Amino acid sequence: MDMNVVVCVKQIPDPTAPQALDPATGTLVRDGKLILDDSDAYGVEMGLQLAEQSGGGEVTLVSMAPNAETSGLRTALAMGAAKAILVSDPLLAGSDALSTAKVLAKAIARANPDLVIAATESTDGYTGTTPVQVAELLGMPSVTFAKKVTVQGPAVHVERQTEAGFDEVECPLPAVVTVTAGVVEPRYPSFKGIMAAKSKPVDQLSIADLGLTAGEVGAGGARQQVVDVSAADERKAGEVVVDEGDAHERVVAFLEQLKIV
Amino acid sequence: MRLGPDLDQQELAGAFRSFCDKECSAQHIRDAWDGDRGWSTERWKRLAEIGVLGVRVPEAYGGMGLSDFEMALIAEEAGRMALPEPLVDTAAVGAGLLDDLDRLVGWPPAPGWLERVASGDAVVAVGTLDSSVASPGILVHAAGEADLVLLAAPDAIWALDPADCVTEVRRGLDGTRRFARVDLGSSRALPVVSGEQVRSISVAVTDRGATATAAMLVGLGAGMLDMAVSYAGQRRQFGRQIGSFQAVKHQLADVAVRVEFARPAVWRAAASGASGDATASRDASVAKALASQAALLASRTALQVHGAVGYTSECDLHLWAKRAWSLASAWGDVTFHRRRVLASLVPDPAPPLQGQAQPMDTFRADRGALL
Repeated sequence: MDMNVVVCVKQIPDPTAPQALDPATGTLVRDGKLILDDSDAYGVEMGLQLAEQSGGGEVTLVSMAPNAETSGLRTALAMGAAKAILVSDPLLAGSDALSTAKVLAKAIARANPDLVIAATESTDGYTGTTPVQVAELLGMPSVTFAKKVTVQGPAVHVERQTEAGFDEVECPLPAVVTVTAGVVEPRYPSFKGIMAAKSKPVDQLSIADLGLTAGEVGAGGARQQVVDVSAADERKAGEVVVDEGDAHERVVAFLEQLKIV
Repeated sequence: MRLGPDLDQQELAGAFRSFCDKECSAQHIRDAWDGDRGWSTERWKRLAEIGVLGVRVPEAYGGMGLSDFEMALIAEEAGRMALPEPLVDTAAVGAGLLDDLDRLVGWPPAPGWLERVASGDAVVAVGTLDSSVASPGILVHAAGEADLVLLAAPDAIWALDPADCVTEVRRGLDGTRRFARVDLGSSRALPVVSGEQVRSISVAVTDRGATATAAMLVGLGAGMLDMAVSYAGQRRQFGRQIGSFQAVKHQLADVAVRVEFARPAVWRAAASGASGDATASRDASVAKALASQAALLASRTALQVHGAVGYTSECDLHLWAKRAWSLASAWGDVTFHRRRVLASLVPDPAPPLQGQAQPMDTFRADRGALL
């Protein structure tokens, strides 16, 4: 079976560069150059491996970004994805997770995928809700926190990370799967891949192309709003335990509280 | 004339930089020091997979078909992270010479070796000889780990099986660099090609080695400068960061100037080499002399700025500094290249003073001193 895999990728401000919040809206400033979210490299690699294993499938990237930004997409295309769909529209400014999901779902539907892969959450937004919203809007089942993904016939088999271990889940295709970092080791874009990526198609769409209106998405359609931003708590000093014969018990209790043991 | 890399070239160099950031940490280099061969065969395979080893190999043989210029950009990034693999030897000098042997001489095994270089299946070491008269053996970097040893003299080029010609392997001051004594006499091999046509091919070997090594030295210099600047921003003395003192700042600024001024000289040399300019040898020598001086100053200054911790083996600095010291004398030291520049400008320069070492002797002696 040729598998058409869609991988949702986010292009984010470089996390190693200083970040800023817009004081008026409380949202992240995304004006500079954007790069591929590192956590999406795992999804791209997983998608490529599954498409390769299926024999003749291919990976389509779907992304939503301001200013028709494609540099992050180029990285994923250089890894081996066949093409990309980029939704970029000034009306999308101020989108919340659900608006984003509506846009992505419309764009994904155009690619007619057998499997949709996304990261568990983005490195700049951390809502972690978009992929499951996309699944709901597409009417597909979703499996989250995958640490291993295999496709067997018409079903996807997933080892799903839990706090205590992992669940084994099987689900019919098409489906949405979110993958954790470490599901596979992402490949480095090869020099040949980088050169080839320049000529791969990137389909740029506006919200009108997707049949959406300004009232449904962007700031106009957002049901979620940032009302306040405050600084994170200062790191507190650690607790010093003086060993009175019970130090080992207190260390174990501490680790249990962190659910490490 | 624009010499700087264009956007495509910057992108390739940037991709390789990301690779080195993840795959070549100081701990990786320490592991390489402790290893049998001074570098990692696993990382070598990955270098081949991303296309680094085939940069200089024609596309028909599975390479990228790019030039000495892209190779220099790659070598600078390799230097920045002190990549221990014999990249310059195999991917720059080896592939360049094999390409010349294929195109200009039609040496039948050349295409096969080029394919093996691009796929990461072969390590090629290259040495140079002043004359084809049998010598007691010269030290060739990486020849002990190589699958093919090429020796270039002004009038002959040999292709040798390391099993036939390597008599001993010695570890360099830089633990990642191993030098093998290659004895042409004991191998009794006939040259691949000999005669007057060899001269320009052999000169190109030295030019390529000098240029790619110069690029690596620029990277090493920039890497050591980064370390020293970072340390000067953390280390506090007299109640403030030592980087706030002019005496420290000025030293670091001097290094930055030397490194920045050496880089365009490397670009020029690489561009001249790629297009076969008549000034290619002079440009390579300018680059190698400037880059060696820049990296040596960077190592001295970085040591000074780090203070006592700088010369301990626990501090990463020595991994970079020792590579710079070793490479500063590889493919001709500063004196050798300054003399080559002089010879290119003045038709008949005054001979060296009596008793003074000849340029290539200096080169040998410095290499020997590093072992």
